[in-house]
Amino acid sequence: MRALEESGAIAQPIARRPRLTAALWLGLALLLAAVILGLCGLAAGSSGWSLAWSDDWPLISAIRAPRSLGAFLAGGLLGLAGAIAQGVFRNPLADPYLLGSASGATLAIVLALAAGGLVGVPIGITATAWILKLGLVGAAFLGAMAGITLTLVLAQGTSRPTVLLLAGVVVGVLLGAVANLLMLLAPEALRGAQIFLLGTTGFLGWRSVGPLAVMLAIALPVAVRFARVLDALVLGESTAISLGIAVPRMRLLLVVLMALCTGAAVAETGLVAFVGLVAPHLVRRTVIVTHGALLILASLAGGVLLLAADVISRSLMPPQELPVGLLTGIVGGVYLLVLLHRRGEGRAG
Amino acid sequence: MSAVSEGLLEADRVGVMRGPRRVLGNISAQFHGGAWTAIVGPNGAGKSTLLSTLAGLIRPKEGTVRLAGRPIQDWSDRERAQRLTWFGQSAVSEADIAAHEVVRLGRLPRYGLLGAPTAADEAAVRCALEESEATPFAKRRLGELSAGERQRVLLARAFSAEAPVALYDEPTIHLDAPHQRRLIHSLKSRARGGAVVISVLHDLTLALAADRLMVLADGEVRADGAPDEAFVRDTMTRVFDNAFSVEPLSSGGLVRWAAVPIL
Repeated sequence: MRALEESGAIAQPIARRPRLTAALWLGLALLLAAVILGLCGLAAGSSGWSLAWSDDWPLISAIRAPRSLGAFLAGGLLGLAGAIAQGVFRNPLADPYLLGSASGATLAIVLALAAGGLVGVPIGITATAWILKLGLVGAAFLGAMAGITLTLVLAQGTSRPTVLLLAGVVVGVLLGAVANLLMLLAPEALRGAQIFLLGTTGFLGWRSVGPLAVMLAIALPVAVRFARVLDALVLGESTAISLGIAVPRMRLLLVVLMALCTGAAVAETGLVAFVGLVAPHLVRRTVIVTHGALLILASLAGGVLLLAADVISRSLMPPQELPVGLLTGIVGGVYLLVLLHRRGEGRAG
Repeated sequence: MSAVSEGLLEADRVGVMRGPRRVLGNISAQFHGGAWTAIVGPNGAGKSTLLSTLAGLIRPKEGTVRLAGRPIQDWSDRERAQRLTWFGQSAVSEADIAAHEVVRLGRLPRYGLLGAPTAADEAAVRCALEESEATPFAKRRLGELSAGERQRVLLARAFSAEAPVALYDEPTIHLDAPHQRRLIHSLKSRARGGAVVISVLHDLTLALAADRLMVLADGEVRADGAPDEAFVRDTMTRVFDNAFSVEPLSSGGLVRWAAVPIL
């Protein structure tokens, strides 16, 4: 061994080049897809596609550009959160909404809408007055954070992942039930909340782009920095600890990152289904990478998926547009069914 | 730190409880570099618990585990991991990570969570892959490998650490006979190189090839010594309800022992 080291004959990294190339190619392909879809997003209007950029410029700059950019960033956050969730919980079917963020955000939105109705303020998800919109976005973010905090408190931290997942389910059911009760008592809140529950990119503006971009710019580098924790967790918690990793502390950090990413995305787009679940899957099926690259690629893939869903939802039957969450739900559901079917076939074989 | 204390692992009156149940009681043992110890015992004897406790993964209710003369919990996580490697039976998740990346994780205590592997780390990874004959499938996903191939990759991960103390829980599981033999050679050569090597084994004939045999039953050490000692062999057969007999095998002037099941 020492002789080999001294000879320098084995100093070059092993097998790194082909993997990196595949990952780089996928990254470039996703970036290209994002650019093309972004351009499509700029061209897709309420009366069909238009390439008259100069005529449409006010619409493009004020509405379509922030919407496309916001969809890409929100999808990126969901993809990143999904990759973290699947790594932390060592489960390929883990979802960023696992820990009560979805139900927390829903309850907060319903509360805000119902309260607005009670005091007679014309608050709604379509409110254009920025302070009201910020109120709903803020409520959703705080609700998501409150849901996750409640889950963490109930599970007494992140040291027992199974208890944590169960606490997430309990919080989801409880907060969901309270939200449903509120919607029964204040039906005027139902309509606004429904759009939120379906997930929509329709209200993404320049005010959304800022917080989403800041969150992604902070969360992605931090997550990538600690990606080796997720690599080690593949081998089991005990092995990860034996490798010198402070697993409980690291898991808490990663869960907090996941919560922030999910909360930021949910606040701006509502509950967009399946993007966080499917994006890391697609990447892992395509290339063999460690979590460092997976987090980046899953984030890119999530962005591309939501951007694609946004363009399609606007182009299918203009001037009507489908809630983007419906589309991701259908496509994501079919993808998972195919995946399960293939896996079943693989096992049978 | 002196060269003598480095690599020494010691259990001093260690007791471990699981809820109200005592799984290990009053275990004292010293492990010096240069010898391979096999821990054997019937199911539920506390073998894996002892190994995890020696690795610092379970904190004993009583007594102390010392690594290189210092209580194991006093070492930082990374310092401990640099000196002691643990190969356990923990469940590996459905992994899409490449096999050689798993092996590289064995070097993580050296290059650190935020550092980058050096040429020496890469060389150790290559050597470890060669040692467990895992190089041909090093680039494949861990989840795609057969159970035996996966075990060899996981063993390579432990080998790559090159730690002075190496603990292996059931390392021969899923391995075919040639790879079991190769593994035993690896364990022995690591011990000859000065490392503390301890393994929990279910294959008693393989265990009888160790330098030292520790027989555990009901959370207590019933015998601890060389397999050549009649007391050690007799205790071993007794704790297993005399389900086998230990027979001498002579080859090349050396006496070895084989556990022959009594059917």
